[in-house]
Amino acid sequence: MSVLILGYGNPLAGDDGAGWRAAETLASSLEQPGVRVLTCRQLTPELAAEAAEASLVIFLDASVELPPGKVSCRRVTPQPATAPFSHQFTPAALLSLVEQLYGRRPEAVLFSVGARSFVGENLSSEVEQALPALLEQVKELVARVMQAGKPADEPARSAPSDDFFSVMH
Amino acid sequence: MSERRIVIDPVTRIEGHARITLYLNADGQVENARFHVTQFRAFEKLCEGRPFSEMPALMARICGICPVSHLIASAKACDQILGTRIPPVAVQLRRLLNLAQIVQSHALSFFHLSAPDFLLGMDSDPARRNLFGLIEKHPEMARDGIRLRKFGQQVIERLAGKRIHPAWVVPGGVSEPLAPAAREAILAGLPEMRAIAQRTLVWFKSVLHEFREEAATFANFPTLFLGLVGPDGELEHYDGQIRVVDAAGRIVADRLEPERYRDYLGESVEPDSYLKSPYYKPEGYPDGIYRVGPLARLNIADRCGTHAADQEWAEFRQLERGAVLSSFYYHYARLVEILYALERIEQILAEPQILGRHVRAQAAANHPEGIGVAEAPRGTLIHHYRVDEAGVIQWANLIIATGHNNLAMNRGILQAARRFVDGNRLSEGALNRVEAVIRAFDPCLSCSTHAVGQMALRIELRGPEGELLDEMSRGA
Repeated sequence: MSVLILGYGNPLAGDDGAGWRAAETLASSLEQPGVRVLTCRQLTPELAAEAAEASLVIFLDASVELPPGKVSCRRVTPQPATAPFSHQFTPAALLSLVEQLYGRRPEAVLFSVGARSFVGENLSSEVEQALPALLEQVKELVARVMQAGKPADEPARSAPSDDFFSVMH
Repeated sequence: MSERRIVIDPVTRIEGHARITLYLNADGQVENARFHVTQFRAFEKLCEGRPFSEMPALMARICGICPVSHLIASAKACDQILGTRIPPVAVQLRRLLNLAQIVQSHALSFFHLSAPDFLLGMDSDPARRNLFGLIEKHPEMARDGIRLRKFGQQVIERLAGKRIHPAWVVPGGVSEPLAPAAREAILAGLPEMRAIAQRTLVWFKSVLHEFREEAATFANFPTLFLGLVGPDGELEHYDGQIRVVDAAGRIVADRLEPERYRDYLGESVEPDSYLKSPYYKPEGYPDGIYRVGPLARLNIADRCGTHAADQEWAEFRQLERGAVLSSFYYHYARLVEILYALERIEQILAEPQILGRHVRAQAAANHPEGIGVAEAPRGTLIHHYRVDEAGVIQWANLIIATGHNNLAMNRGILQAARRFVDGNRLSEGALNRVEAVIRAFDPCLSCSTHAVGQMALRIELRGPEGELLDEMSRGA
């Protein structure tokens, strides 16, 4: 059983750093075997090697599509990149690389929080207030999968039941 | 100067904003070429007024790909301001960090950015001539590149706590000693990385003959070569003294003190570019054109200093009787340096004192000036600061590897454009080769580039009256 949490964004660009900040907090509160937390400014191809070793990948990111402070969670499935631009490298494209290069298909979810401002080093009040709920949801998901022991020790090749992700609302 | 021009704008792989102008004569042949870096970073000004102790962390922000290089050059400059000798263990730990940076940066350049040209072809479909096309056609090569880059980043993380913008290198040394577990973990990964480096070298040497034309025309001309060498003339990336060799491979100047760079390096400014054009002062401007980086380092060194890399170096130097002149061979030199870096990392980790706990010397500002010089992946990196009595930065000057190579890059695109570009009819393959000249130098682009494997650019072919004759664009 192994979980990789990837918080990404620029912590010097306001709410864009929400995923990074969330991951930093989780790194200390989720210190346990089988859980690895990484922060990065953007998703890059070499993260495929990290993701290939996980059974479950949890992406944490800011979103411009959600209302400020709203948290959403959705499953992510592999989808080849449509454009060869590194700054548009999406979780789905990363998972596609994992599948192409390593023949593995970890389960994956993306937690997003709606952003308001991309200026300065601080999060907006909306995102700041939303973070505890986001963190709780991630912790709940991690606890659930660790307790269930699923996906198995080997990276998952088939999708688990929907019930497995029932924490996602 | 002729009025017909081909403009490549933007070229996204130099600090994010650059363009190339090809000037045509009446027959549509390329007469001149200019490489314009149009972005102004201003780090030399914005650091004024900051305490010198902030400089390593501040300067690391210049680049997201090679922050370690700026961190090290900056910390070395700050060491001089402190006026202290840093503990020997700290020197070796910084050296380790720099070598890991070279591994990950060279892997990015070779596998992610340039391998698509080698494996898929310079004239192949540009829509697939990128990392994703490489993954599709040659997944084993893509995996090797990812493994090497990941390894380099992991070494940085194990040493410095994080992969990008680590704050571990500080004036006076490093902030924490090396943990025994980190040492073991790095050592455990080395055999696989060496195998990757060696099999990639075997493969690349086997396909070199397919790129004879590129080798002949990608910035293939006599220049000086400059960089640091160790006390016995061996390859050196952290310390050492400056050596300059000419195109015949003869040593022109040796044991130059890096701190006296202003005695032998001039910095010219061109009106059409924000990138400075340094030159070797004794030869004047622009005759003092020189190159830095992996190609230069292998040309100036007497040997690498590690077993397998020495063998590869000897074979590399057989390419030509004097210095290896074609910038196409920067790619080859990168692979040799990756192998060297991996071997050197193992050597340093085997030193019994490497786990020593005394890794930082403490002092206040004792000198008004500090100059830090190290070899970054792309070449010699110089940080020069002046401070007031309180240690506040009053003035700074930076010479970054991409700048050293500016004159050669300009001349290189002219050479390639003259060979490949027909001014009356544009072709994608010709355009890619002009790009590939720049790509061979691996200019410090990754902090700002948005493209993987191909530049987003637009070329316009205009007649003497400015009328649009042809155009081509791709990417964003």
